[in-house]
Amino acid sequence: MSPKKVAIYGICTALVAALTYIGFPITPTRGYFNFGEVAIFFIAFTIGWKEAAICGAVGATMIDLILAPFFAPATLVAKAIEGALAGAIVIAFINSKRVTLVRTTAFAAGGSLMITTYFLYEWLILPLNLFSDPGISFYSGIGPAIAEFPFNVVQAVACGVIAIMLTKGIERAYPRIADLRG
Amino acid sequence: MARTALVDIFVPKQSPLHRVDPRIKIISAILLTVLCFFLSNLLVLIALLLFLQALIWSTGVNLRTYSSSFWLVARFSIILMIVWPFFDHLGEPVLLDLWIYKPTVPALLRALTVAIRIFAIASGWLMLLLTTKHGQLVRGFVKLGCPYDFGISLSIALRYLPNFLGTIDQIKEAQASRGLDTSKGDLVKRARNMIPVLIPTFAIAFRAIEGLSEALLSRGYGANPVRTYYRDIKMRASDFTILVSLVFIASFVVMMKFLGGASF
Repeated sequence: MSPKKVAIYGICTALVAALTYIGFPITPTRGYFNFGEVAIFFIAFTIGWKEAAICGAVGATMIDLILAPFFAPATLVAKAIEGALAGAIVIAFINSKRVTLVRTTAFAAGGSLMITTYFLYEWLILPLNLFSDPGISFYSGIGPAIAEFPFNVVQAVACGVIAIMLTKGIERAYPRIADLRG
Repeated sequence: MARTALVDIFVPKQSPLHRVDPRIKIISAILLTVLCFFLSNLLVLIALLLFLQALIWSTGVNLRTYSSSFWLVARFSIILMIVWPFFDHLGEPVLLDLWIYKPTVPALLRALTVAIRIFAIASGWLMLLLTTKHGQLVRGFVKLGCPYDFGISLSIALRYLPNFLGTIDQIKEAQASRGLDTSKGDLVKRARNMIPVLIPTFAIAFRAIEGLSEALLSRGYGANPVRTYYRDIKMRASDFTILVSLVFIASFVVMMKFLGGASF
């Protein structure tokens, strides 16, 4: 791997982890609203799908292991596919003039997969109670999965919109960011 | 800045735990995490937590050094315990009956179990970070079979995470002095108020990427595909003993739980 790639992976993972850390808890599922998605979408828009998938998955899971360990396995999968899909859509339409539309589609598709992954995890995987948690029924099953659904939608939409605005602003102020792609 | 203490907490000491091979410490942290998920008895989890605290204390690390890290986890656990009775009303006796807020003794014990589990997992990883240099940590991961690129990237991530948390705090304070409040309001308002904090954070991150890639290039990173070490890590007899004991204890607990029906 080139030195530039190593630096990108290292710094972007730290960035995702830091932004995942600054959040606030959501009841009733013990999840929390965070800004990690902003970093994942931003990396997908400006650098690439692989970087968004790996940095997103590793960075967010690092923090989940400390703050919400029950969600760590779901986070690893959800953030990886979210970053990969968003990045892949941006790359597929890289020459398109309608940049905002492409990015909106990218975050909508990536975010939908993330929401679906968490929903299925809370509904189908958590109730299996693989780790014998005595309080499992209070944050797993169809009830809590439906309860957290709107929060996840708000998180994906808010972070996607922020990421689009942020990318536009930073690309204007910092044009060399284009060199990081590829 | 309490947040910067989240991971950048290595304390150079000469304790036995500092001398343990980093591979063993990484495996221990992973095993401990798995074990904590399997354990559901409050008393067993408290005993495990006390044992881990005693181990940390035995390294001679100043309590102040890691208390801020624990405070971060404690804050989350306290919030968890406060909100838990909103959704868990099962059991008796009921301590309070305020409409949907009904804390019962069994529910509070369930919340406490989860909080102690989070503390125990955090203690395991904290022990690794308190007693292992970043360089050793990377070498440990590489020796465990991870590619060197992965090891160095992870090391960079761990090195920069406290920097970014500190930077975010500084930017927040700077924006607060201009009248921006990121701690109040509903979800959307709080998210919107974070934009002026996020823009400089991203700009700083990308400047860091440029600087770091130049620094790595100037040190000849990747010039030689086979990496050599001035000081390599070697497993000692004591390391093997710790590894065997850990694997034995973890397997025993898992087997007793699933085959013997033990209630821990």
